[in-house]
Amino acid sequence: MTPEQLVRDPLYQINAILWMLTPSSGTSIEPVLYRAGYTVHQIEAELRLPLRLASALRDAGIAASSNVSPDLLLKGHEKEYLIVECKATMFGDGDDRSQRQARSLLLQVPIVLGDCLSLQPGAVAKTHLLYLTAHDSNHDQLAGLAKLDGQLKKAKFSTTNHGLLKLRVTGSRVVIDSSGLPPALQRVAGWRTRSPRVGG
Amino acid sequence: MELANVKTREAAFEQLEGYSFERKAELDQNRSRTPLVKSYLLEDPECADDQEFLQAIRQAGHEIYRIDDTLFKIKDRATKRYVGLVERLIPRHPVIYSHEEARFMDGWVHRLVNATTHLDRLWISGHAFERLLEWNFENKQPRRFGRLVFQHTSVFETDSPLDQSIESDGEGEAVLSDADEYVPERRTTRFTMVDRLEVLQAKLPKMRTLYAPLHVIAQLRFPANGSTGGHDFYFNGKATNRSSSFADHRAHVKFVLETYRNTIAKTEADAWQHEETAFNLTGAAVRLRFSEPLLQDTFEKFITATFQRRQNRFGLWGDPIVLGHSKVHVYALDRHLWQQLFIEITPQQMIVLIPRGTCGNSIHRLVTNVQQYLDPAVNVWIGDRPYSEYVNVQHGVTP
Repeated sequence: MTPEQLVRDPLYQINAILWMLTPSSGTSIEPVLYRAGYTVHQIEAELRLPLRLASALRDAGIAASSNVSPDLLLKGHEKEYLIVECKATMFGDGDDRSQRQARSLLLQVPIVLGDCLSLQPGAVAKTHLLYLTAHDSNHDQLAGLAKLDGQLKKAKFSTTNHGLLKLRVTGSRVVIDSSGLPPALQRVAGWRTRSPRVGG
Repeated sequence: MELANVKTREAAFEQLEGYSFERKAELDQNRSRTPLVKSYLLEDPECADDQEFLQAIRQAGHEIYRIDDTLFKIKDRATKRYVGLVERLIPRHPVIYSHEEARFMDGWVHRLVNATTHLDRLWISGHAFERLLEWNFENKQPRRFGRLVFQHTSVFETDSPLDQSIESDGEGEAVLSDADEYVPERRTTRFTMVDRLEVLQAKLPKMRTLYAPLHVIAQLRFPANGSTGGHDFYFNGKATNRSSSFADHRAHVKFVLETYRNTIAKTEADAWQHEETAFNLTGAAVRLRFSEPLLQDTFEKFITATFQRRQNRFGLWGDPIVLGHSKVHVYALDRHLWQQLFIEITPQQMIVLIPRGTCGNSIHRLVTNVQQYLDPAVNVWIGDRPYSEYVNVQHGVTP
């Protein structure tokens, strides 16, 4: 497997996140998410959109998945949750499965996520959505997500912060490009990580 | 399922989720031997604070222990057994989740509610179920199976003498037996339909033109999301989980509760009578217009059985003021909550005024009981707006 293939592999992507959550993983990936105070809350948690919200989306003619299972759900300090979804490639605008899933994830504001997780009121204070994908310099990889977000906001639905981490191959290293992160997620930005040498 | 060692919400709901999954697997193999998860949706009319709520449960003779801000577990004091969890799911509406057998738990909840004025059942009338059924048609896959149970007993229109069954305080759930028991001669319908939603949507309107009791839905199934099976809601606020997921069941419970809450709030806002000035009384009257005028005999039996018998199906008390052979005024009390209703009754209609402070639930109980026992096709208005508009599911957007 080439490094370019590796960074698109779903297992590698999820493991990259898990290594970033582990204080001493035996790899050269820095535990940036661990230092930011995150732990794994659930893997592939099933999030069912509240029925009322799902109804409102149908009435507005917006296609969204009624059940969505993000790859990872992380919990941080002070009732903060980070939803992580890994993708081989990002998507544009449209109504395919990826877009329907993305809309459901964008809608996970604190009150919605708390409902989806059957938590008591006030148990979720902040939410963020983070996509992880392989870097592609040929187009704006965040554009599709931004369009979906705009569509939801225009229809007066509240959406959560969202951002993009990109895995970029540089020589024999894999670097995380955090330029697609919003200010709220900047504390995990700007960290270089190294994977074991691959190939060659 | 063992609740004794449950200390957190996560642990409690994980148990319920796993239990629900196993029960659905048994149902699918047609070998259901253990009880399903049931929810009992209640109303706390005074929106009591936590201490009052806990006290109400204890006064009924049970022990209640806090798990978190809104979740508790209940131990039956007689059997020393944990019978379920109670969650204050939305303000004013606690829900009991239990895995106990229905024949034990139904009676347990009935006795709990009767033991305190701080708790009441939900009363989901045929009109309200109609709106929820329409929601199913709009939001569930048309090929999914729905299940409806229609139930109506004309207890006051009978050729038999005014009999003991009229006095019953029962909630109309009894299955009629034709063994050796006395079966009064009166119109009685208990009819189940299970079919695809698209078929129900197409056929039901025509069937209703032929037979009025088909207006009185007493049970409605919401098809589950993501699995076969569904969630059966009863007119008295009970819901049975026949799906593989407790989380999905809870989501449907919350949806019904939010709809009910909206309905009560709107009912109270429009129907509460209050003085704006010394000469100006505002508040809309609630009008229940019978689809056909009641027979004089039926009218008289209804008045006698409801207001001159200690135990009656409508749960009302009052001394009727007879204004003619077919008009009666009653300054009535809801016997459970001891709240006032002012009612004028003729063979054509009932007009109800509710003073400010009377819980809107009293109206929904009245409409439910009128449909179940007096007129299945009764038309209801609050002011000049149809009652069905009050049950309209408000979608809203994410706050």
